[in-house]
Amino acid sequence: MRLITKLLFRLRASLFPGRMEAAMRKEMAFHLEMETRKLLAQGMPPAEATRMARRRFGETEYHKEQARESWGIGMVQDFRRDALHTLRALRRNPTFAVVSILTLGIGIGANSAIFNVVNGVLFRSLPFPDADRLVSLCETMPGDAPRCVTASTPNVEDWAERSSSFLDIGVFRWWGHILETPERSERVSSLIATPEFFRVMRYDAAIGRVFRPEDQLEGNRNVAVLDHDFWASRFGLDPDIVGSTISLGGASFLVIGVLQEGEKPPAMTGERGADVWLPLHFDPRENDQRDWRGFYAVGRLAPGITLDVARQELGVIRQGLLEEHPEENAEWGLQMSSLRDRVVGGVRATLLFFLGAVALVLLITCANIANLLLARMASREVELGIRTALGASTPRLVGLLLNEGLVLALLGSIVGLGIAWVGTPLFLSLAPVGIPRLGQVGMDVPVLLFTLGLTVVATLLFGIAPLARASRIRPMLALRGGRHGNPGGRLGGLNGVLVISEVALALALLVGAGLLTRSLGSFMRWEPGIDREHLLIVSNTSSTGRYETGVAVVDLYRRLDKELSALPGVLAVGRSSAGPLFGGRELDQILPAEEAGVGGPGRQARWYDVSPGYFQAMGIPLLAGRPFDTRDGPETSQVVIVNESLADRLWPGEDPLGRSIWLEGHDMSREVVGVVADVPPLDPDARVDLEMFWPQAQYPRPFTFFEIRTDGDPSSISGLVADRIREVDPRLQVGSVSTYDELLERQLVGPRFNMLLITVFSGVALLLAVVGIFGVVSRSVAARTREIGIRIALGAQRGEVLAEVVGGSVALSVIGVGLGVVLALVLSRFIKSMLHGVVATDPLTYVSVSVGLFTLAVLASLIPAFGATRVNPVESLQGK
Amino acid sequence: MLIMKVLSLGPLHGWGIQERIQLISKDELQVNQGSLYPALHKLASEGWIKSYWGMTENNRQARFYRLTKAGERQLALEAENWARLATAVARVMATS
Repeated sequence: MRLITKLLFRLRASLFPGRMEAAMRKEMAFHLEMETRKLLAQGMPPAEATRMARRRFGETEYHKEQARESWGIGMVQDFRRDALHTLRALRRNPTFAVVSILTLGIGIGANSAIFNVVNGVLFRSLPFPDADRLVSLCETMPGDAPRCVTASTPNVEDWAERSSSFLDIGVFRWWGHILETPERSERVSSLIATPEFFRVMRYDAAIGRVFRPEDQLEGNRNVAVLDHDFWASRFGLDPDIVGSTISLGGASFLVIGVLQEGEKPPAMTGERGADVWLPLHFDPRENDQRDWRGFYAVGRLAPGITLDVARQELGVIRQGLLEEHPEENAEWGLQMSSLRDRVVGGVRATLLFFLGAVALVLLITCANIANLLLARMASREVELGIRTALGASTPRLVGLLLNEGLVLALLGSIVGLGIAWVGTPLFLSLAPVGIPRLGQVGMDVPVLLFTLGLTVVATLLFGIAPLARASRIRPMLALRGGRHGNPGGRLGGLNGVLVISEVALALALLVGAGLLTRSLGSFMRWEPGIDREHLLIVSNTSSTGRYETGVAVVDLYRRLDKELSALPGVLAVGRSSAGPLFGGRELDQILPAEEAGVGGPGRQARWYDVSPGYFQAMGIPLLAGRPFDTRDGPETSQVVIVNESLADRLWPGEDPLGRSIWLEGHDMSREVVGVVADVPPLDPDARVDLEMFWPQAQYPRPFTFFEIRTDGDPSSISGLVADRIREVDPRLQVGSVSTYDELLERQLVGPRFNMLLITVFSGVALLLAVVGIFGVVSRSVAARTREIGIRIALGAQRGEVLAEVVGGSVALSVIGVGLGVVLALVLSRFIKSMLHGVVATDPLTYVSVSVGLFTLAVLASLIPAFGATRVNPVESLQGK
Repeated sequence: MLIMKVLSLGPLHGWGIQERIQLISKDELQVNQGSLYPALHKLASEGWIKSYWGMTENNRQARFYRLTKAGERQLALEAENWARLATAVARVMATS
């Protein structure tokens, strides 16, 4: 109760100080009057009574001041007064004000913008109900590289059934279908999912229903649930959609429901929503799907269960499953992480790296401004001396100086927030597509708090400089005209620290920029050994229901081969399920056939089905054996062409032709009939994949890429290709058409963005550091004008003076560079994941950056130093 | 403490408090009258007394103060401390 009274009192005093003053004056006047009246009553003459009363009362002003202090709002009043004073001072010094507020605003704004992105992508919960309880599960394969290959449905079903840590575990994967209507056919993205998946995501139908377990069984599988936005755009919110049928891939599906608005699948690797949801084909009575691991699994933790508890329990359950189904489950591990980690984990390092980098820029900005404030201190010594003489206590002075920093920081952060508000969408529009959840970034409370925090930090940083000075105010000296003193003369003390720190921070950022530039460069120097400039890559889907059998598909494709080869300027046409930089990664475990069954898990290899013309179209040379031809078909022996690395790995030093490979996942062996050259990966640090190719004729599927080699610019025929394909069959879907260079560009977007961002940051940092050094040395020279003049008059050579003035800042720069190198080395581990083809401690980068920065720093000191040598001794002695 | 004690006997305006203290202490305590007001304001900011504007017997407007519940408690506390202090001092003085 008392606390509330106290607070109300304070509040009233701060909001209505005028009223408090008036009341106090009134009651004191009343007191004086009463006392005077008493004295009059005692017989004193009026004039004397008044005087006596006043004397007894004491010094009114003093009492008023004491009373005001007791109001406890002294600080607020002081702050207001100081702030107004600061604002006036800033107005008198517009350049300083504008420069510092602007630089600070940019520093704070950039930080807030990037934090905005970081917050939206990394920290905020995923936009699903109770998203923090969602867990991603995937089975991992040992061997060359652990990959989250996902999970097999029967395994997941067993886990869910036997575990009490999970409420449900859902299974899903993306696919594509061709939706046919009388007007046209279009490609739609589809999601194959189990009924449990809906429960895990807590998604329910807006109209109709979602899947039930029966829908997964043979005979009931042709049902579909539509995405809400898809239903709105494609079917115009038709309320009778449930119960009607749609044609997908030539087959007819019954629409049983429509999802509610906003119910989308999680973007596991950057996909966007799915238009159509279809049930997964799963019959618990069949047992042959246990080793088909093509799915994502997401589970919802039961209340009160933590990830670790669930992990332990699943470990036990999996042990049991291993014993029950040893063949399918041998060698597989399990990786569990929160769904959010799975979705954003890949970019976490990069984003945090940028946050760190931009923080360094802010530090440099603050150092610069502190520097400027320090310089201004020199001219304020007189003012502060007067204040001290008039009775200002040290805390009061400290308050005044901190206030200046605070006002600057507040103004800077207002500008900063504005910049962040504008800058965030700008950043998002430039950012590469790989960053997940960008659509969910928006300014909200954590960002504002972050900006506020930055402001406080900036204030403290600014306050350090003046505080150090404040403790050394000597009123007498100041009153006598402090200009004759020597403030900020020597390049030591605080000035020196600021210069060193600016140089060090700038160096660290520049090293980062240098490393990322070299990394990008190593990507751009990629020599894949294929004919990059003359390739057009076209993807094609033929799942229209017309080409049901393998034979029909192969026939169609051979026909397309012929048609496309007839186009002008086409040298060769090939087909494949994937290729370097395009298509999916399809992997299998392989062994030399003779070791099958005894040789352990084997090695991971990438497989492709290709047409006979593939290698020629791509320009990949055949090193041994024969290419595929029309002989290879579904009836003939299963053959395979391997790349050098695979041949080397499986049969080092021996001739691989004629040998056989055993493929674990496909449960078959294939005979090696040819060897082709390796295509080195884009990432110079990665090892060459083991690759095997088999004829499309022996593995037909309704999807392929066409590789078209031209003798001129490939983009010139891109339109013709699509037309020609549609001439053959108008219902064939042409997916993407791009030249190989365009594909490569797309891969480089990410690294290039990183490099550009860091280069911008380090450029700003460099500019600030150079300006800072320039300013410090200029001021030092200006302050020492008299001294220099005397020395020259006494016979010192101008060269000597120059050397001495520059020497100080050279020493500082050396220290700064040294510290910067150490700082860069320490921070280098955060950049490691973004570097390709160059190590984080690359000597060339460090040395060149250090030398460059040092040179610039010396230049920045030389220019004002020259000014020092041109000092006219007579003028300076006269105290100009 | 003295102010609070005076107010415990009933609300008064500033001048009245000063008169009462002078009366009770038989003119022993005579400080600058004006220093009463900072003390009053301090007590008010702590929440131990509350101020309000009222009418005197002569129909003059004056600012009155009264003791709050919290103030009563504080008064009792301070009185006890004072008594203890006085006893201790007396004891020390008696020995030497």
